[in-house]
Amino acid sequence: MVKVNSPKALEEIIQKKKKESGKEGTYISICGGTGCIASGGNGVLEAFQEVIADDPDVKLVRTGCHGFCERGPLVVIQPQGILYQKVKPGDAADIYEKTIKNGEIIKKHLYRDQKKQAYEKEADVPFYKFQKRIVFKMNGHIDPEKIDDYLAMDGYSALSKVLTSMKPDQIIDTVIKSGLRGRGGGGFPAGIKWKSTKAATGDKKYVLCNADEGDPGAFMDRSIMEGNPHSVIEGMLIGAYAIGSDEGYIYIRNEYPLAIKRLKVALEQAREYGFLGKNILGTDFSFDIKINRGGGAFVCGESTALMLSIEGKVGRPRTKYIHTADSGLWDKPTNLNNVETWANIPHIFNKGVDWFTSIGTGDVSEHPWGGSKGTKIFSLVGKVNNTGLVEVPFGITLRDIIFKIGGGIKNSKKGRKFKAVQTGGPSGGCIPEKHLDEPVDFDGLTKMGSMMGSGGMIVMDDHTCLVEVARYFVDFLKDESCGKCTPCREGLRRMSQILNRIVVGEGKEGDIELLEKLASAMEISSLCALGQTAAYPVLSTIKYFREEYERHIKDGYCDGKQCTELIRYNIDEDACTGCSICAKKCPTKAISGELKKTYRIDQSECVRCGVCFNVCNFNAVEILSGSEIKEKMGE
Amino acid sequence: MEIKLNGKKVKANEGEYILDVAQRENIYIPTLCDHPAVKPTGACRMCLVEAGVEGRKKKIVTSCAFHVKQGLEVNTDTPTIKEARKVVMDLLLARAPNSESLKEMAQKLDMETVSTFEPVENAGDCILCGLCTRVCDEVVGANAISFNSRGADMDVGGPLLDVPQDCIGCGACAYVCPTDCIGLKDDGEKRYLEKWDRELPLMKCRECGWPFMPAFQAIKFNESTKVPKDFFKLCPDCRN
Repeated sequence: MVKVNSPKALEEIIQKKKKESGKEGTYISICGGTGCIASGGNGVLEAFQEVIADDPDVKLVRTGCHGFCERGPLVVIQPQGILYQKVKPGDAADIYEKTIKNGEIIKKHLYRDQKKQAYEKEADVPFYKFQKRIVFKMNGHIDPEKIDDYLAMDGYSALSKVLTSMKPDQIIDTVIKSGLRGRGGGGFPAGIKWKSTKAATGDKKYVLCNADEGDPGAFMDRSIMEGNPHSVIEGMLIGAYAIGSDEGYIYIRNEYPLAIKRLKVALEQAREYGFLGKNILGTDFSFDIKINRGGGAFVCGESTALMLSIEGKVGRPRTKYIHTADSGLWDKPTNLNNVETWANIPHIFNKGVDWFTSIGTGDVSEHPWGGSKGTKIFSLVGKVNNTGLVEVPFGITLRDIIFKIGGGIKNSKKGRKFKAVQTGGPSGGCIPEKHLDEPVDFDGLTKMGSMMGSGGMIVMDDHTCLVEVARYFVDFLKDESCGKCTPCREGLRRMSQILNRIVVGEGKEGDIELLEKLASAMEISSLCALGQTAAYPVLSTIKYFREEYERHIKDGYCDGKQCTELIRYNIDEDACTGCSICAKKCPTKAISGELKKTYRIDQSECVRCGVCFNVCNFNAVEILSGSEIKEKMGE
Repeated sequence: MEIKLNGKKVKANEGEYILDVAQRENIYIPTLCDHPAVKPTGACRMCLVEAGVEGRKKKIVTSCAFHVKQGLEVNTDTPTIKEARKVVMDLLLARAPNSESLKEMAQKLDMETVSTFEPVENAGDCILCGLCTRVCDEVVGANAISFNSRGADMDVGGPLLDVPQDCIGCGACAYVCPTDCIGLKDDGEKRYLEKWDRELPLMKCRECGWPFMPAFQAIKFNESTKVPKDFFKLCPDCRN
């Protein structure tokens, strides 16, 4: 590979790669993200490779994640943008013959919404239609293991622009003016961080990328690295140049093997072209990036713990009275940003501050805290029809995300309704229906008692017990706390004990107040953000659903009908048609009866898994709790 | 420089922590994981104070680890601070129900000396402040003990909670332990550290025959202190 040793050479190679890419003609984009690979994407790719082997006019692109993982493996026929979902290897020949050669749409592969309406084009599918894809834009188009694909889409041109026409201070000023705030959780303005690190005394400075994505259910950073690793590298290069750093690290969790592999390939290819290494694009600027794999501790996503972990020490946060911008990795000035933050940087320099600030909320012309600009990727999961990664502009309402993009609540025909949405990962809060029409941004979510966090978004229906949700997250954090400081370690231990007794019906009078007291002490006295925010799931559920806690404690009643110790499954004899499906599906054989008559559940054998409830087509299985059990079952 | 402690102007020196100044001014701030021999860590969270530069919003910080600066205003006993300390102490008392020093501190905080929580199983009166591990690392240089596991399962001891083979038996850990939970016993010619399950033979004084020091400690201290080779052959009494 030839070294690209000047901005002019880069421009030439970009033009050359554009011509070579063949993207003007027909190409088949096959999702090669972790989700689609898990559902058989590699087999689909191989089948298409075989089918088009003799057709030089059709190209195949194995891309990164498209976001709609639930419907994978995904295949998009370009340039028309036809989306086929849940494609199997056996479908490849058919798709090639009908769609590619004859332009015929195969209806059975199309996405259909809840009203059974089919959509031909990816861009029209509601899941995509209401998104605004900037960071994810290239994900469906480029092969992440081919730097040429990235170059063909003007890759590294932002780097070239800043190296040739901007001074470090101008770059930092641009990032500050863009209002870009950290996408990893804190929401701290990226430009201000860069400025502090640049101003810090010291010759050696580090630029780090936090890819230790640990929130349960969140995988946007993984998908960026798997789908477009060069955007992260380019972002880090621009940051390093502005800050004055020659060495960077990407701290990535070891549970992301595909992302690690693609990052390694990307780094190698960037080095071959000379985008990393000495005298980048013929300038005095030198920079290179190493990958550091994390061992799986959630707390290592915290900045100081992350840095200690890179140093080879135990990842336990330290007090941050001396900022990491002044003394971070190996006590040198260090700038740490999250994957999604870095991936935003090239776009800001390619398209300008005015473009970036036109997206989002608030006014950042005075200072970057004035609003939330750009887009945010959320991982929309839980009880919604369409789950996956969604990139939306700040300011969109929760309702639009859940009902337009997410397609509403799952099983709404069976009567399921929206109850709450949990945002911000394990330390986030649960937001009830009354806030659904409020705009989503950093400050808005905080006001609602939750937070942006890394962008996890778990939708819950009325069959969700919020006390159980709080218990789940507290137990998660209890195990993931580093254990260093008293309030976090011991506070979570006690909260876990209290919540675990409430969900089995052994809660005591005063438990709610005790939870509140512990929560408030943890918030103000814990050492790091993990402990300071650990109580948010508890506080927000108490704030909005206090009566559910009270009913658990006083009446042994679970509103979500989820706490197994407090519920009984019962078959309503009048509604039961004796179809026997529940008896057939019951894993413990607790259901007996006679065909076409009625069935009964033997409570001593029932493990309350809920299978009978889910399979019954006649709504004959009811879930009872609290006094209902006595009333209906005489127990 | 000058800082304000509870409204009173006091002198402070560059590089000092808030806690240093408060102790010099006889203002009581409870602390468990701080010791002059080691670097501050901010783990126990008892020494919380509200601090901020004049005119700016005060933050809650650990006074053991927060450096003084010109114009700093510190409040050591606001209602918020008092309440937080009580909760922290209540949580710690459940780990160390037998510790006299904790009970004493609880009394000073104007609270019950028995935790409102049931005792933590197998805590053995250890509050996981980390003074033992830090002194073993930073002062002794033996690095024989450390924290194991994390979160609510965190414990302290030798590698993988086995007997620490690098322990030289110097007893510095027992000396700094705020809850006195390590259990150092000299029994005739042997020294036993109960918490680490470490037993070491004691070396006898060449003059009087008193078994006063583990041999490993003598070797280690000879290396690190550069005293004459025969220095530890004699017990402290016979040395004079």
